[in-house]
Amino acid sequence: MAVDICFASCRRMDSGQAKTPIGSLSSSPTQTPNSLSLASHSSPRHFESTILSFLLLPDSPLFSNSSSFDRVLHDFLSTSSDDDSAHDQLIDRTLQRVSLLLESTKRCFHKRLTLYNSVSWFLPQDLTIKVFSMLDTKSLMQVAACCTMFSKSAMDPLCYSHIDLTTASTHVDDVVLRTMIHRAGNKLRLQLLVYIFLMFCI
Amino acid sequence: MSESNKKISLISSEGEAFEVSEAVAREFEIVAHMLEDGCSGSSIPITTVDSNILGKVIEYCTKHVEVGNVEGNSEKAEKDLEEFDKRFIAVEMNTLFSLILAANYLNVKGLLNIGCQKVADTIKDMKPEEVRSIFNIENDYTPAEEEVVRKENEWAFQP
Repeated sequence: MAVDICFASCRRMDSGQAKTPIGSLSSSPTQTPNSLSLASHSSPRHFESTILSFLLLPDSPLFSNSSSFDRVLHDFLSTSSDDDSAHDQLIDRTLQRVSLLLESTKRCFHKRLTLYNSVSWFLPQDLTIKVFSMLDTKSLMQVAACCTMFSKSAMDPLCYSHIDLTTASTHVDDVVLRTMIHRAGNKLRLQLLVYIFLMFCI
Repeated sequence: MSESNKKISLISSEGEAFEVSEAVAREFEIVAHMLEDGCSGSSIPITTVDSNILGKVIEYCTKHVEVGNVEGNSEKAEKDLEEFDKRFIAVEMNTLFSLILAANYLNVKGLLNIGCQKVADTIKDMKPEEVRSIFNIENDYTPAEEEVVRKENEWAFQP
């Protein structure tokens, strides 16, 4: 699912510009082959299309066992110098790139979930805040842990204009109360129950 | 009397006309403002609300206007109205959300309040997992983010 999104966004990026084949050097005919390849590799377009072509590789048995990756990496290392530290560097760099791709894929995945949530819960933020402002403070903290959209709404000062800790008094100390009052900012209307609670604290 | 006899057509997003008395239409603050601004047309398009929801909002406003017009025995009338409100918002969540959106757009404050209160009552005292399953919400936190949110408010997750 997550990879699909990457495909979609890469395709969008690619659609406006991909006339030349991947790796084509025709854009800079006056340069030497070596500098040509450098210039081409450093262009964002080439960079993106290389990643895309890797992602677009069709499913194949080659993916299901890792021997293809092993072989490529082995060859890749053996073509570099024999120097150990150079090998270490290559391995570090490869690990770093793979982890960047993994992180990026995860971000796409979470963004997609966020989008899905905004379809399920289709109240706009101001109304979500109105609903949340009607909750006791413990329920508010619990709902904030559901998803990032709820967490954003639950941080609005309006949600803390009425701090109701009656459902959680045994676990609440003055640090918690101070945090809640801080979140309320100037929206706090000190209710009777907060006064009562403060009396218990003192 | 002349005011309550005057009829106004409210047109839903599908183009369906709902004929209501001016008193009921005025429960929609957005309509009341239009009338006060001298909008004399007898049909008012409500383009963002569909027939199903507009029908329900009109039902709510009609009931509240009726009860408001009854003189005497106000305690019983109020109780009846409370019962009506309770039944009125006992609907499935998507309809409730649509009612809230419509009440917000049309500025029917009473309906907006009972709608939001109903959602809040549903959420109250629920664990995050339960809220997710009722409202079809996916956990879009990264494990690290979720850890931070839970830690910040650790006291709220104690049994």
